[in-house]
Amino acid sequence: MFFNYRSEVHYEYFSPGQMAGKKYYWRAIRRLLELKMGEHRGRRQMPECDTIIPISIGNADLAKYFQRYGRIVALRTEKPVNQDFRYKPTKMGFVNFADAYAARNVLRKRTHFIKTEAVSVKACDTWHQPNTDLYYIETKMITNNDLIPPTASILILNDDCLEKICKYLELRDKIRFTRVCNRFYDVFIMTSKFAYKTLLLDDIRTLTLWEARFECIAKLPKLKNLELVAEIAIGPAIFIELAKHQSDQLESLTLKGLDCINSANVSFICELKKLKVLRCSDSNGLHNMWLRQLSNLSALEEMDVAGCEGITNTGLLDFLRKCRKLKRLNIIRCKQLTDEFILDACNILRIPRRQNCLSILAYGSGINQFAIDRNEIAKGSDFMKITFDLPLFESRCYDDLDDNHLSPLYEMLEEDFY
Amino acid sequence: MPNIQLQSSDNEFFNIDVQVARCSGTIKTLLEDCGMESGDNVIVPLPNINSEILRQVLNWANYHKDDLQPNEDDENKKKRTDDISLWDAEFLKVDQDTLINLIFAANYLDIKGLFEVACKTVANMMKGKTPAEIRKTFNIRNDFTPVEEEQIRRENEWCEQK
Repeated sequence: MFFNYRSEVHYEYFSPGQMAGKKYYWRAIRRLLELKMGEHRGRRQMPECDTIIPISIGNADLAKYFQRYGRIVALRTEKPVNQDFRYKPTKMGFVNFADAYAARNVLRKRTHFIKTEAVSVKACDTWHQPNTDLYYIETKMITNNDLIPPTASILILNDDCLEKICKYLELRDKIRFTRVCNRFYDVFIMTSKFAYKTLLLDDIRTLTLWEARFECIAKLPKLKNLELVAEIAIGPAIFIELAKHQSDQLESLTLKGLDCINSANVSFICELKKLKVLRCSDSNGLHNMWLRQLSNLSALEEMDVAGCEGITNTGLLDFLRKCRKLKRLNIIRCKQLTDEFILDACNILRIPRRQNCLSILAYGSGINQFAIDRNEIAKGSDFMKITFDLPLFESRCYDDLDDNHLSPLYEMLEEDFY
Repeated sequence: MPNIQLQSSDNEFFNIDVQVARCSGTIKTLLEDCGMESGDNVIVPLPNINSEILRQVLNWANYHKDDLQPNEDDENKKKRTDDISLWDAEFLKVDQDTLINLIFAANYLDIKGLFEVACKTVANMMKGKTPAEIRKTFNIRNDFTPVEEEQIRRENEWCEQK
């Protein structure tokens, strides 16, 4: 410990094992002298702090930044003698403020950001300012630990905030986001738990050669739901790849587009043995033969063939016969089906008995709800429910209904009302 | 219009209009739940926010006090990041530390509009950057082991440009 003539204490640092030899004393005394000389020249003892600065930041940037805290009297930078080559090259700077409060405010934050670069600040070893409430009087040699960048400020945000940021990124940027650090990776996994099991082709449109990248989609690990919405005819390429890679995990497939269903595609779709949900509404090409082929998907629980006008009773009955786990069947606007379908379906479902009740949406189909035998339906209510109303609450089923189809319902409602 | 006082972490007091304070879901709920809506001289301590940030947040809230509250976020809505208004863009031209603190404050005070626009700004800072560039921009340390890094790289190979 040293005192100057005003009894102000200066702390000096001894690293373990260091001898306080002649050289050391000289250095300390020279520093005290310099301070005293400064006062002789009419200056007050300068509150000073030292900073560790990335090379890219010049003196002008430093001055501009630290001016905000108070008037700067002197500012100099130098390269440390023993720079550890394993870390980013840095330099050290010394900022003298006219006012102790300014220096104290700078020291309140250990890390400052100048031009997005982190700059850590410390009190100089000549630091002693009675005015600063002894806030940072301890002094310290710069060790290697100090050269490791401090925690990034973005990491102070909680997961909600990071999730929100992640949600605003597009797919490719999201993937890069995951690769930044462990925390970001966890955040992405969390968001993908509720948002990312469904992949929309639209999202990867920005990827290069997206049309040719079907094999990439097919290789997606853990893909469960796939929704293909295409304005052009979808060739068999995607289904070939899906069959190759996903036959053991894809659970839901939605096809919307021109000619999605054709003989080549159907034979590959049939290989997706784990498929539980297949939606291919408004596929005009779908006819009985292909429906029979699709009945090989024995795990199917939901089938949506709304608006597929090529389907007739026999094809759909054969399908029902083989798909024993089916729970939901959407045959809205299948004009070729007739009233007999209901009775035959009852017979198929009754023996052998199924575990699950099958609910059928038959609004606007060829089945006339007033011609079928109510008793028969009532008897079969354990294993089959049929509704002729518009399924407003069925999550997906109203996607494919336009206003024209809504109007009859309103008329019906009005009749009931009066 | 009655005023209330907000107290920042460094004990500075901000005397503001209740209308402005109600931009914050947290303060709004606080006032409603405690039945302090009409009373003057209410002091709300905000120990997580310093005066510098609080001043900026209030500045934002003052400008946007007449805006409609944004709807509950709709998961299906297309997430856009290029719809930041000019005023907001200018407002958010601050150093990164401040920006992060604004997000932190907006999240804490539950100010949806500011929270969204600030998150969008950060997302825009990440867009089109490689993981290494993102780390550099935000001063994040790479804490993956080489094995983990390789594994994640392999998982995501499909979306990288060849």
